[in-house]
Amino acid sequence: MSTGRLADKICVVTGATSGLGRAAARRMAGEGAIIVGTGRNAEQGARTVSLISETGGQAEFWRQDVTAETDWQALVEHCTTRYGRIDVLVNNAGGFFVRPLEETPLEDFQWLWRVNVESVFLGTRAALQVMAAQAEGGSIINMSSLAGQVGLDQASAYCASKAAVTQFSRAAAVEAAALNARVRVNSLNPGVILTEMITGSYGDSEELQQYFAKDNALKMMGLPEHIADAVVYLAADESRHVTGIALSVDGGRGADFRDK
Amino acid sequence: MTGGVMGRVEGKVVFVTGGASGIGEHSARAFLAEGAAGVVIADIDAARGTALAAELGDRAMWLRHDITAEADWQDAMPAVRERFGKLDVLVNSAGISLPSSIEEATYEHWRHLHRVNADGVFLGCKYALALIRETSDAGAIINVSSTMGLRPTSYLAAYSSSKAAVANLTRSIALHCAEQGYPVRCNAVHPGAIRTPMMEAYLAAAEDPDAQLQAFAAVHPMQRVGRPEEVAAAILFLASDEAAFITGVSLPVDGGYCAA
Repeated sequence: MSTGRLADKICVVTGATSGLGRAAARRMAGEGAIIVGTGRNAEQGARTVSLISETGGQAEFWRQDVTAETDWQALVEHCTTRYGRIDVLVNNAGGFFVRPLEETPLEDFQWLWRVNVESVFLGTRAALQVMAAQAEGGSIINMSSLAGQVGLDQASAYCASKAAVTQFSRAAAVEAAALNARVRVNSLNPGVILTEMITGSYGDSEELQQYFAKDNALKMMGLPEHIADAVVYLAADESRHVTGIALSVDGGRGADFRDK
Repeated sequence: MTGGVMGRVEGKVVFVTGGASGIGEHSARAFLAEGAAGVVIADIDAARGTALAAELGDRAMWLRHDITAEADWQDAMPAVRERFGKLDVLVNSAGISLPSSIEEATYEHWRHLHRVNADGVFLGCKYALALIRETSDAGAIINVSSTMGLRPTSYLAAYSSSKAAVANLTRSIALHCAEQGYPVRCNAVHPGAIRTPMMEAYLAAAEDPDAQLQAFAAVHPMQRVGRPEEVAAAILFLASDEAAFITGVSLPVDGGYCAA
């Protein structure tokens, strides 16, 4: 028996091979969770597992392409066989690109839709089937974005995909509550967070980091750990009455326009 | 707290309006359980307030306090400074709820609800901010709005308006504090129907209390009313440094009410 706010909870984190997923997995493990971190990069997955093990946490890596329906079936089978349940699913894996709309091929839009939206649909559906049958229910946390609320320059496909995640999560929350009032679905809206997703598209110069750090009310650079703390709150039993919400963790970037 | 583990609000000093009962009382308990150095229980109910402060011990301070009286706020801040030396967190939990459609509501009723729910929060934010920004390294204001502040109903016209005022005031304060470079975040929680003494009074006045309780539960996708400790958990999260990148948000604790 471990202690902590997520003691002994079986927590699946997609995209646990880098960025927000890795930070969330580490923070959750620190609160006593047993982590099943998924992704395509086995080397980076192993790195996440060893980072968690080094600090006394429990984790394993499970290779998964979140856009593949069969991979979700295999993951659910693995979790239910090995642990008997899934308590938390963090649908974190996603993609991003910056490109002028008129230069964006349909294939790129469709790729982002598969990675950001279909993956969340497949994951939520798979977890819901398991969690609805559990007396303790479960918590599904879908990674949306500030970009689901505001229009970002040259990121129309990304903005559309994240708005879809937010709205999908609300509807799934209503449906989940009817199946089992202890199954919750919420989404998170990170602002600009310093991860490989951002540095890979925009570069990692000091100048650029300073620009991003100034692009929110608090004038702070958003870090993966900021998101990880919100994931822990939504995963833990303390948020058992919270469902269907979209929680912004954006340094106040959206405080002046958020439409509720 | 478990032995040797730092609490989530270790060392913080917290001022809770409406601290003698309901969401305020449970917030006071949660802050002390997570290591707060001091909690001010500010309320007009002296019987409950003194009893609670006595139960909670040395770190609790009882203060007879009317949130609508500007002079009470002017007196309260020096008293907090004298007792604890600083203030980190303000929780504006005190409020009232009375039903009225636009046709039923008298002008006096409208002014009464806005005086307590909106003016009381305005005064609290104004006077506490002055002390927090001067004495805290990591300050936070949490205003207790309502689902009605985001999603009004026909039969709570004045109440819904007063709670919407709280939500928008919260965002304005968040932006101001950030612009000024104050280390102070400001967020709102939006409880749905919660089983507090305020609800008990409402139920007691109903023709059929059981039917009324069922009716409250039925409008929430989770089909239940919430518990004050569930709202307190959200307030604690927003007050803690875990929410360092969160400001200007509305966090519903409502069993899915705002999503459906």
